Order: sequence, then structure tokens, then C-alpha cells
Amino acid sequence: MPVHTSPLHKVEVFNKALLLRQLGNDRELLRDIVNLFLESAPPLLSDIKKAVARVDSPSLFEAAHALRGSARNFYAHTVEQAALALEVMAQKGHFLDAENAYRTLEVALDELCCQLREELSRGDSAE
Amino acid sequence: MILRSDVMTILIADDDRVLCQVLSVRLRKAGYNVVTVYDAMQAIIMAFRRPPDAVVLDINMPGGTGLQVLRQLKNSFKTSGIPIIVLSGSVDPGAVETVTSLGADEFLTKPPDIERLEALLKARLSIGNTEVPGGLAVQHSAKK
Repeated sequence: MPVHTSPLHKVEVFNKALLLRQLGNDRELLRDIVNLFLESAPPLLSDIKKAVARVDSPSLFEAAHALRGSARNFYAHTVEQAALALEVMAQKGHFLDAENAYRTLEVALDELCCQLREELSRGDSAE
Repeated sequence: MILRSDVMTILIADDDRVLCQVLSVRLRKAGYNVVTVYDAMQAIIMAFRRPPDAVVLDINMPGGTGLQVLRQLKNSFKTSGIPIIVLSGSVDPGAVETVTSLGADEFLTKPPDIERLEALLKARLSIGNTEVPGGLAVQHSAKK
């Protein structure tokens, strides 16, 4: 079920219910993996940006694949799909729309990171 | 004969550190000793140096190196009897066929349902039980 937060009525970009089930409702583990993701995702996005600029298929595939895998742990479908689009472009060597695809991923990842940070603050204030 | 200590050891080989952390914590809570490695070379070194009771192996590590780990462990006398549960981001039938032919014991899609993973490990590691009914299982991850 989407969670609405006033005043923007934001849709949850990761599946918190599934994630907590996967973690055995372990809030400490949630905090650990969110921190791990927040540390590792920006460098991967940067690698993707560089690979797109250089038209470097292997590097683009590797970074997009790693980011997709990492986002999948949070059931973050939008980021997964955006990264997958770049993976496919890398596999096919089709870079025509890669910059747009990168921007889509950037926006989706930014939103995911934002919501994960909010989740961390909620956890901290609850303690 | 494989001598087992009271606490069984699971070797997790995956370059996804988030998933490694999740699996590691959950499996430790389930009573296993867990060793985590992030690349193929380390996986092979660890498996040969101190053979674990089971391996959870990402088949899609960079460069297809997960397949090399599977092949090497299943081809060595020292490690061929160790149950290997393969994780993959896709259910490409070709991939399932490949890992089956290389001797994988189970195949789970990512992110794996951890309760299912624990059940498979328990079944595979039960004393005297070397076969899970139905052979290699293909499990799809929870619906998004």
C-alpha cells in the first residue's frame, strides 16, 4: 500500500513492508543496509555518468548492474527499471538515449535516497 | 568423511554488499557461522582453505566469475560435496540449465526469500540428508 505523507502525498519508492519482512523486522539491520546503500550508490551513479559520457559499454553495464542489484534489495522498482534500461543500452551499444536514461535514473535514485534518509531519521527519533 | 563442528559454516560470495549484510545477519541469527566474500577469487580461496558446510553463490558477479567458482568447487574432490545455492538476478532458463549442468544444488532469484533460503540450507545440511526431494529448486523472489 502506498504511504502518503502530507503535504506532497509522496508515493513510497521502495517496498518497506517487503523489506522489513526480508530483514526479519530487524531495525538495526535496516539502518546498516540503508547506510551501506547511501554510501555505495552515489559512486556507482558517478561511474554510470562517466561511462555514458565516454560511451564505454563495459563500464556502463558493470555500474548499472551493480546499482540495480543494490536497489533490488529495497524492492525499489523505479530505480531498478531505470538502471536496467541503461544495462540494456550498454549491452546493445546503443547510447543514443543514454543521457536521458541517466537523468531518469538520477531522479529516481535521488528520490529513493531521500526516502531512505527519512526512514533513518524516523528510526533515530523513535529510539 | 566430512567432519562437522557443532556450528555449521556458510560461505556467502556476492559482490552486492547490501545483500551480503542482510544474509549474513539473518543466517547468524539462524545459528550459522557466516563467512562473506565479495569476489570470485576470495570465494575459491576461502572454500579451499577451510571448506564450508554450504555456499551461497551469486552467479552474476562481474565477468561471469560466479560460474567459474561453481565449476571449480564442483570439480574439486575437496569441495564437490558442498551444497551450493546459486543466486541470480534473472530466471533466464539458459542460466538455470547452465548452473544445473555445473552441479548447483538450488537456484534462487534475487532478492532471495530468506525463510526459503534457511529452509533449503536446513534440508541440505541435515545429517544424513544429501538430497532435497524434487532436486534442484527454482524459487522466484517475492512479488513486488
